[in-house]
Amino acid sequence: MKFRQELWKLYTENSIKIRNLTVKFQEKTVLDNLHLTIHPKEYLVILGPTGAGKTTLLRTIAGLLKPTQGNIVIGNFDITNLPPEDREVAYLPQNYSLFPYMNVRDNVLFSPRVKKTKTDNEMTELVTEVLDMVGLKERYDAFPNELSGGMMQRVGLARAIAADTKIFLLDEPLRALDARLNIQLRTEIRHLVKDLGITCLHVTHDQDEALSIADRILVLKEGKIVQMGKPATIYNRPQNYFAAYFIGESTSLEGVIQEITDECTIVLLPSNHQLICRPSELEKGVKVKILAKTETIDLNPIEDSNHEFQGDNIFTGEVIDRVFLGKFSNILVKIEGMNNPLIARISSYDVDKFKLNSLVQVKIEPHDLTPFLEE
Amino acid sequence: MTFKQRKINASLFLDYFSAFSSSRLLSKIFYFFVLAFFLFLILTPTVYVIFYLFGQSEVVIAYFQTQPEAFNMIQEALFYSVSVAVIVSIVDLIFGIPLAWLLVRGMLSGRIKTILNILIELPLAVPTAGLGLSVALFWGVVPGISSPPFSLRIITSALPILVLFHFTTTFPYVVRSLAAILEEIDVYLEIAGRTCGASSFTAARTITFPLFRSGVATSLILSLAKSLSDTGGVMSVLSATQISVWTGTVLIGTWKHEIDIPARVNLDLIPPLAFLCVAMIFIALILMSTSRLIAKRVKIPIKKVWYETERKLSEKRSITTRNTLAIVFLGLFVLIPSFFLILYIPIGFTSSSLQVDWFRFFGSIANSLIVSIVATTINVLLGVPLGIFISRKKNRISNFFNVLVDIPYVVPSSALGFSVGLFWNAQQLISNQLFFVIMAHSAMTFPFIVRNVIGGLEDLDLYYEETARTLGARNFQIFYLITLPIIKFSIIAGIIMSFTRSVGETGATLAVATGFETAPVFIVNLINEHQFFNASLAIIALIVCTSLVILVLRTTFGQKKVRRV
Repeated sequence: MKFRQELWKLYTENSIKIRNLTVKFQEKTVLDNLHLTIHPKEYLVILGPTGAGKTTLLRTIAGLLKPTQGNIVIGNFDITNLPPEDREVAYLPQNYSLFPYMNVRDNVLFSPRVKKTKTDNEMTELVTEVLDMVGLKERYDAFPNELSGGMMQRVGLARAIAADTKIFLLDEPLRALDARLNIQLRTEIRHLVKDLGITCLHVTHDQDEALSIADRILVLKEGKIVQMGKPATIYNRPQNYFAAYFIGESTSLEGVIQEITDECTIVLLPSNHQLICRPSELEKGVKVKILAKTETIDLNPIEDSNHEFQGDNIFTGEVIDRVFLGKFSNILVKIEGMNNPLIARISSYDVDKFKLNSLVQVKIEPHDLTPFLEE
Repeated sequence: MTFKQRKINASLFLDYFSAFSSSRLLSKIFYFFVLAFFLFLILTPTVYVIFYLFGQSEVVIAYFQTQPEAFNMIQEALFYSVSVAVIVSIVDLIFGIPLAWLLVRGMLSGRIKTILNILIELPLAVPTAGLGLSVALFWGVVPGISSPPFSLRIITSALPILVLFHFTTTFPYVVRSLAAILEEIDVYLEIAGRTCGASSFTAARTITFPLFRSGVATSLILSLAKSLSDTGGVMSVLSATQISVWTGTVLIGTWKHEIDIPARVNLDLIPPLAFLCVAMIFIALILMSTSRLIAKRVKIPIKKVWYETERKLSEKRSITTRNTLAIVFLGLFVLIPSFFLILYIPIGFTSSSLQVDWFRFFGSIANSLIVSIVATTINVLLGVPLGIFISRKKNRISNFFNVLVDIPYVVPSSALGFSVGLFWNAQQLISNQLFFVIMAHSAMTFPFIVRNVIGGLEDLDLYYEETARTLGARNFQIFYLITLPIIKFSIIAGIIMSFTRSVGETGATLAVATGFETAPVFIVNLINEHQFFNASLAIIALIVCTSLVILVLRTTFGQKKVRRV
């Protein structure tokens, strides 16, 4: 008990420091020399494509995998070799792993029972309180197979809360839910975690989910950290091509740096167009990739001579497709000489202004374009 | 002590045990003990008999030189054993595949499917000695009794009657295992093939069948192992029809009897008998590996399509013909011969005098129950941890044991029984016959529990155990709170399989200890004495006892009760 309380104190007051963490499965390196610090009570979302090592990182922190190298330290206490049952972290795997032959109540009370931390009366109070928190008070005697995906997810959370730990490890907790429920629950989870003052690591491959709930996002690719920062920073100021490409929808353009000034970088596209981008520290003559995010591309029908675009990065192209997305629509514009059509996102109210095969003016502000080295 | 106090004490004990048993060192010691025990009890006897034979090779050669008829007997026995096993296995597959297909992929209503499943499994309830008598009454000529109505009485030679008998013991296993494996193959693969224009036969042949070959291998091995192993049924069928030939298992039983009869103990027969056992073991292993190899290597033509022929084979008429043939086979060659004994009972009742030696009768049933229950208990205690070890610790040692576990399964039970007897006699530690029989039965049925535990754990997502660990549960708590409740049903299924196999076993008992009469041995003895009616009664009594034990097991553990933590 004393050990547990000391751990709680450590977890609530100190950052989790992950140093030189490497995990290898036979010859394959799944996590490659990770360095990161997770602040107490922080909601950190680990984002990355399939095979990036997200689940492996979570399982290593839970103690279910032994790192090949490196350590996990909290305060001055090294927990790398602490078995999972002594770590006081609650891990919620992808399928929630509700024990199938236990009802909701027994699932929720699993941890206090095996740890012998509560009396019977305390447990009765706890289960009522926790199920109330997740809105499932009425379903305490239901079995997992009688619950919907959203309810199972909530029971999984309730079980983690009842475990009375200070760190939550959630592995794609919203994966199996439909879009509407996904959006509703992501907010609920964040509020719950913040109210309880818990440090939470949440793994996902869904960028919208990550952007909407994270205090900070950690982008992983092939076991390496691509970027770590606040959602807005990751979205607006990606540090490399992968981070820029993985988050948001964009068109990729390739070119060679023609000139670099203090105000801008000029890139020459294969179509001989010049693209003015943000200033960069790259060298003249190198091959680069530029991502134009859909919402940064402005369009103007060529017939509308009153509104002619002025300034840099103005091109003329032809509308080759229109994709209706509900509130917004994507307009695909083919510019002579460019390999990929530019995708511009406009309000669906304006779609009729851009008829198929009509000519349009395209404009991209230089500060929205960052050239990245080809990877 | 009140109930509540007792419950608290039990819970305290579990806590102490949990803390104690969850230490890593203890867990290692425990697994070491289980593995050592498995090697010593289950596997060593088989290896011992081989070494014994090497040591006695000169004696064996000398024996065969002076007694050439003994060698001829062995040749005949092996010829019958192998040819019967091969013929039966091939025919089983020919009719078993369409029947399994009908069960899994056929558009049968739920009720018809259930009935068909029950019909297929029914013969498993009858001890093989009973099946032997029943087959003899249906197909063969049983001298000295008035035949029941509808008996065919057309088979008078050894090979066909043995083949016909083995259909009743092997076909249900073959269909069951084929159906279970077919169930696991995604039906949508075939549907996708058909939407691309393949006829149902072409789709089945080119898409499902290549995925099904491991299932075919398993069924082939099952069928070969069962027919090589059977002793009681073969003894019954040969004895009732008075056809005198040797098969491997019958010869082992007979020679072992001659070695042990108090009046004329013939110890000279031990080395040639060891030779026969080792020959049977090697033949079994060779047949198994050959069938595995054939199933693995044989190329199924998946690119070539015989459009017209396969279209015709996919027509409703062809499918109906195929299904009818399979069902007729099930009825005529499996079900009717298995239960033909029922028609004999009224005749036997009127024509025989009821002179049952009740003491022998109940004594043999009690012996059977004791042996089966103790052997099964040993298997559970050893098999469950070994199953967990093999499926959860993925390393070289567990892979090694994974292969070893199946050995008792393919080795003919009488060869295994003789090896166990030889091994324990050589130790001169224990000379109790009951102990020998239990050891032999335990070795023979061991794989059932282990395989079922492994199967159950494969279905159990590792995430449950991991989640429980992060929630604070220790090794033993995880075992009894998470793993056990989920694999409980697989263990019960294993217990039932192990128990029924042990209750019906004749060969291992005869080969390990002469004079120890279990119920199937008693039945075989009655048939040898031509007391067919008494034998029928004993068969029915044994079926009732077995069913009762299974019923008790099913009602006690069978329902999916909710376990409170």
